[in-house]
Amino acid sequence: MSPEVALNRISPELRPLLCSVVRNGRVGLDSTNCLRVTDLKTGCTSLTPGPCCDRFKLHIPYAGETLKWDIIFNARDPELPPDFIFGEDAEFLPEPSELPHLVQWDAGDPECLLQLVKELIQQYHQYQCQRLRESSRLLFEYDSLLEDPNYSRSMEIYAGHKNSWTGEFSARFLLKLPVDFSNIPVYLLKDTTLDPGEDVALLSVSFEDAEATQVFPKLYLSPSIEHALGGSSALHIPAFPSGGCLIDYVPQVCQLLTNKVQYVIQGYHKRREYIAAFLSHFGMGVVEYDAEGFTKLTLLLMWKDFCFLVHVDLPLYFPRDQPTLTFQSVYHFTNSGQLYSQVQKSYPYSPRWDGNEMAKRQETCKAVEPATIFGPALPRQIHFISI
Amino acid sequence: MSVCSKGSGGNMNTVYRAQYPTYSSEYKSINIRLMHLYKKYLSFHKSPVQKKNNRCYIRCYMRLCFNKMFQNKIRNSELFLKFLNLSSSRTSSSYLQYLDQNLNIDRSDPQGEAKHSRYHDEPNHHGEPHLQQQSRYTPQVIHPSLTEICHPLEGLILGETKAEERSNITDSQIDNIQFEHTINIQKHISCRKLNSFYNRIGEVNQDEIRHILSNYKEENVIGWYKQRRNTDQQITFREQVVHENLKRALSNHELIFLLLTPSEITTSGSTHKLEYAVFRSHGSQYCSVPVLVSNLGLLEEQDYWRLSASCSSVNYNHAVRKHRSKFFSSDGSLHEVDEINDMNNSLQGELKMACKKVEESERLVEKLLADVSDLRRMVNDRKQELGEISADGASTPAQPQENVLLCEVIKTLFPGASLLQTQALNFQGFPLPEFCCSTDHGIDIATTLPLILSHTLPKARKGRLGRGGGTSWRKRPLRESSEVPKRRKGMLEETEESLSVSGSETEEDLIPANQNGNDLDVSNSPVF
Repeated sequence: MSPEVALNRISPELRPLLCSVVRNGRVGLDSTNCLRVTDLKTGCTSLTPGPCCDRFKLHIPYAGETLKWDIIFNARDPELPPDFIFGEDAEFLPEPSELPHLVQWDAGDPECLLQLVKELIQQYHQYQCQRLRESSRLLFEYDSLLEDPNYSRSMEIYAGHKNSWTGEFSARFLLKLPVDFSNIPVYLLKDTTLDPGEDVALLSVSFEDAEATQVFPKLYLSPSIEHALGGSSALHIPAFPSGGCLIDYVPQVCQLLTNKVQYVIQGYHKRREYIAAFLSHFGMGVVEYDAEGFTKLTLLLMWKDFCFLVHVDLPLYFPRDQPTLTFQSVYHFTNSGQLYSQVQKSYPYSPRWDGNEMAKRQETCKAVEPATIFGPALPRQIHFISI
Repeated sequence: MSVCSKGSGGNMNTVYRAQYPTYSSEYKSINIRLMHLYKKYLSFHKSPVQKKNNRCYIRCYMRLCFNKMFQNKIRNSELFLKFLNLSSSRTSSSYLQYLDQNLNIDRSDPQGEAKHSRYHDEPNHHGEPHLQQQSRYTPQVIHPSLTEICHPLEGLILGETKAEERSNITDSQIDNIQFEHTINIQKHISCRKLNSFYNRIGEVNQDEIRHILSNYKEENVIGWYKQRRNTDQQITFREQVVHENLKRALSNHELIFLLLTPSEITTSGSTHKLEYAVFRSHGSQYCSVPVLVSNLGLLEEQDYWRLSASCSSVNYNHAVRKHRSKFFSSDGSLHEVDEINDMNNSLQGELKMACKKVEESERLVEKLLADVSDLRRMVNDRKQELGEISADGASTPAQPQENVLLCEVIKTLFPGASLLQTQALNFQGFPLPEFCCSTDHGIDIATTLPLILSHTLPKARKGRLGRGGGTSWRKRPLRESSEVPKRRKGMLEETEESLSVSGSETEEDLIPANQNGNDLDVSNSPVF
């Protein structure tokens, strides 16, 4: 159900409260999507003219799960605070006095419902942490993470129900990794078609049994970060070591991600340096270059009165990955009507060279390569263009 | 609603339409009236002879009424029906003004002139009233009672709790004790509005509870109930908090919570269902308690009412108390039961006496049978002895022979005494004269048994003997004592079969002859 449909069907007195939830409602660590509303129903009789819906199901992402809570208002008394049914968590009973927005319920405040939901989520988190006491191993994991200020406040835990048949108890930890994405170049982030939202990296670790013999980690990145790092296949996290614990594993993943981000940032700077060096060396020979991402550069060069284009493609993880040179003739066409070109990757290169050094080496290289590439193809009757 | 918390319960579907049979027909009627009114409005517009004021007034009035009706503002069904009657008669301004008072019409501008131009008598100057989706926009004025009932309700439940311990004996287990806890719901008190006895965080107001209960006692409160439309059959967060606080406030840890959830089954709203469940808390968990609606449905024939259904009605208790003494004694038991018990005791006493008598007679019979068996044994022994003696060939007569000597002697000595001459006695030991021997055996007693005649008394016996037959008594000499064993033998043979014949050995007969060599003094009594 889209937010607009939900807002159209809700009772007018309750509309502001729901509007705040469906449009701005982001709770928990996974704030990429807003809270979702379904199953709108009314507590009024069928004689009541609509819209008069006053109860609905709220879908809340939490620790990799989706909580489905029933929120029940009363359209006849909209000033009364709502009531809740916590789905399958029938034993979850928060302390009402610890819910300030319930005690001081203000039906006129559009944010009141959203704030109340956030407070309930906090108490729900406490409730789940309490349930970890059924397994000493998992409780140890939780306590050890709690001591680390980097993770203690950015952690969601969902303790599954104990299997009465097998006695197995499972739990899932969702941690927000404290990685700084602020230095990632903007151009990398804005290419996504999705609403980027907050740049966040979440590590989900599922313990399928209480003794931590089956542990499955997963890394979730916000769409912009995933795009910036080169897609979902660009980053592979290591498997959870047997006998290991979260307090050792999480920092390891965090460091890996941080290194990756650093690579990306460094790559950007390096590319910019490279382009700058080429601009200074080849000056008037520069046809065009990517002024945002510094990923492409096109030069028009001449060798023995023979002009050609050189396209330089700088990869994302430059200078670790070697740039690709594409030599293109300005005179010749292939049978398909395209300009004759050839890609060259085997040329002297070292990632440890700075931009100037690379430019100098390229200068030498470009003096030799055309003869190799275009030599056999050069017709004798073509006139050369001088730059 | 009377509910017993035992057995199994589930969902109960109710169809609202069945409860309010006139709903659909009245709705139809209202719709028809509205359409007539609308047509009337159109006819007013077409007719030039109608006064402008009235025509416009009615037009605006109708528009206003329709709008307010659809906005659910009209609460007075009577007023609305009066308005509908406008279509059937001419209106007067005074009547319309009266109606205006209840519809908050601006008296300074009843026709809404300020919103229109001066000449707003045209239909395009007014929004045409129209009935939108009829199934949804029916005004609530039709059934205000229905709307009140269908809104969320809550209240307190009164009743009583009973605990019963039942012992079942089965083939495998002799001692199987079951505890049955029954909660009888007898009455409910509904609150006028929601959140009446608790606040937004579930804290209970005990003063408000007492106010709701009014004349009822807090001890009679066994739970509370709530009705929620279109929600899951699950207790909510606030209801749990209220329940726990109510348990503490009423000091009743067995408090129950009855949840009623009516909901629509079909999208058209033609069918509704009502689900109900009773919850009771066990720590932090709420479990559903089986519900039995005892006044609906048929009782199973094999169910016996072990306890009578209690009733808290004052009038009922008064009537029962008035006539109780006719049926119950002071200790609470039925009069008939006491009488039956007394009769039972009497019967037991009579039975005991009869048993005692039977025992005594049985013992007597047993003793007699023992005597009989002894005698039989003696007879058999004697028989065996005689049989051994006469084993060389003497044929024992099958039939006992008559002691003819004895017979003749008795006839001689007691000629007229038939009782003495009889050979048979009845079971009481009385001689039977009809069995007398009338055969003349041809034995001369005087020669055969001279001693008998010699031992008889001289006069009296002679006189008697003279009368009786002529045989004279005389003393029997001792030498004739050898003949006694023969006579004894004959007598013994006679006594073999007939118990009525007894041995009649005299002392002399029993004394052996060698022991009595000398003359002994013999008695003067007759010797047979």
